[in-house]
Amino acid sequence: MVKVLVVDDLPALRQHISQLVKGSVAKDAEIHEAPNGAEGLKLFRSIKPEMVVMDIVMPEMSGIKAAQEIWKEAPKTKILFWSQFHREAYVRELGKIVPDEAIHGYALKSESDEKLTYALTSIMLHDNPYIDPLVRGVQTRLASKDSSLSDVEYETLLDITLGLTDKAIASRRHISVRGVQNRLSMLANKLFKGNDFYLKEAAGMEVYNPRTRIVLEGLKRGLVDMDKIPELDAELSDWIAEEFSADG
Amino acid sequence: MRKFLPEWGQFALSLMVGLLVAALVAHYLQWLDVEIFRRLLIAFGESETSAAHVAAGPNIGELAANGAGFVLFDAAAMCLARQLTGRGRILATTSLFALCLLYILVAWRLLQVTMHPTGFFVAIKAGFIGGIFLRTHDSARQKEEAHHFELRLKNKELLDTRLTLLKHDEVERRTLAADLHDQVLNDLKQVAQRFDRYVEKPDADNAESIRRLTDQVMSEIREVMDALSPSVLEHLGLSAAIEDCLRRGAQRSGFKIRFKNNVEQSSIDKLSMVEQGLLYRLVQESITNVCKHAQASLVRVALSLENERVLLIRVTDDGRGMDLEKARGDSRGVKYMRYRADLIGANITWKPGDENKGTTVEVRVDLTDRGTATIDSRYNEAGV
Repeated sequence: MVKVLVVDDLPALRQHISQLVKGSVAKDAEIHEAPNGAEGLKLFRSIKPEMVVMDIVMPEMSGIKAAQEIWKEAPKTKILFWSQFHREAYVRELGKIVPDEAIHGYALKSESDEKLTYALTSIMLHDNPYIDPLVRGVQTRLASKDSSLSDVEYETLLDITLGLTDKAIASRRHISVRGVQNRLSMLANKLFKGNDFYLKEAAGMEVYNPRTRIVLEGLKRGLVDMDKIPELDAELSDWIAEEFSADG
Repeated sequence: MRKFLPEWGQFALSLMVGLLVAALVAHYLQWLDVEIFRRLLIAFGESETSAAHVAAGPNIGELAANGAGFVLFDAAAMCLARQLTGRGRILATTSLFALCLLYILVAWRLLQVTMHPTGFFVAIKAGFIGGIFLRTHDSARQKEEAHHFELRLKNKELLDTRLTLLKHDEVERRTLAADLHDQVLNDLKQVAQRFDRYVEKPDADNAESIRRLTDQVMSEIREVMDALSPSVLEHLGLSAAIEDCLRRGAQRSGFKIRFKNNVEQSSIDKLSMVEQGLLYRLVQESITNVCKHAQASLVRVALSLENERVLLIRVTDDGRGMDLEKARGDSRGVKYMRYRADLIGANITWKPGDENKGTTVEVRVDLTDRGTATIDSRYNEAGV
């Protein structure tokens, strides 16, 4: 049975989340509620939930501060931030405080219940970070023949095609390293449907480098558009200059 | 004393005091005077007999010659001591002593009257002291006048500042009202209309369009609120807010950006929220100016600490550059930014950017001794 803590200053919104979790994510979830960051932190310490849904603006203690405290004590805690703010700045600042082991997400209050359910599901059940594309500064998706990949998985595919490490992807997409690794394994699962795993069993060793293999598969299926590569590479250089330039 | 007497009165009073002292000395030390005078005469080559003739007793000529001399030398010493300082004063006094010897000698030769050298010396000395006394008064008065002038100037400046800021706020309020009216109110009207239509004919299309419009209104209200009080600043702090502002500028105007923050949050927290807000507005204004005028391709913003106590925020672009005459002078935007900076004791300067291209704006604010209360009250006082 999974324990979920919902922190929001509006009782109606807490109720809403509870119903959503019980109704369409995990029926047997045990849900606790707190009206602000300080209360939430107290409750967190006593019940140790795996998953927290956190509002950002609350009296007493903001959600960001509370999350920081929670992650200090239990860095593996999954936290979905649920906020009315569209600004990328929030996601960026949160990305700076997420520990490497954590999975977190950022969902918008103004978006539909389906999106919220999707966010809850991907974080709670699939360990897959979810950040609302409206906030993330949307990566334009190519018209692809294969719709089985989600937007974020597609984004990760492009990132490894460009040769980025897990850490670099984490920092670029404002998620944790574990989040990136989970995205990669989701990607591999979807592209190979476990085929390579059987080969590994039979040969008794790793036959493929999974990263390269994923890129190859992406190319084969036309998921990665060669003509777009220079443009993507230029974007990447810009980001690197912005992020790591020493001359400030 | 300055308060009770006009300037000439002070002068006259000092002169009188000097004369009185000189006369008293001349009167009571007459035996000494006579002796000194006799020796003087001998020293200047008069014969023993004529020198012996000295103490014949006072007469009109003697009184007149001595009196006139006292007045003359007292006044001269006073004027000189008042105007001159240091070496000049010493030189002038020495010359006065020499002149007075000459006067004594000449007066004797012409009138054959007894002169009173001690009286003369005392008169000069008293004039000298009187002059110094007047001088200190003069400088005190000058200081006070300068001070008054400065106060008046500052007062005027403060009034100007207040007026400019009030005007600016009025303009912002009008923009805000216009935003609310043109966007939010109009969209809400549409929502109402669509809703009426939906009541008549409840179909999915109408419902969808109502939902879309409500979303639009929400985001518009959020934008207006953000213009009033930036949520990012409030929740994520100054550095994140500045970075956010820069990124949005980049999205609007298509320049590249470099953002660098070398300042610990704990240092920034020494500033009150109001101060951080004003700093943010300054940087925001700078970035807006870059967007509007600079045609830059790269904009850098860096936060750093100078001497471990001064927060420096630097906005550099590589665009067309601004007329630096403007930065010194009267351009309204520049003036307004200066006023804002003044409110929190910050300093703002404009200069050419790197390699003389574009513009660099530097905002400096001392983080030490930040008395939050007084600064916030100054802020209120200026009607912000």
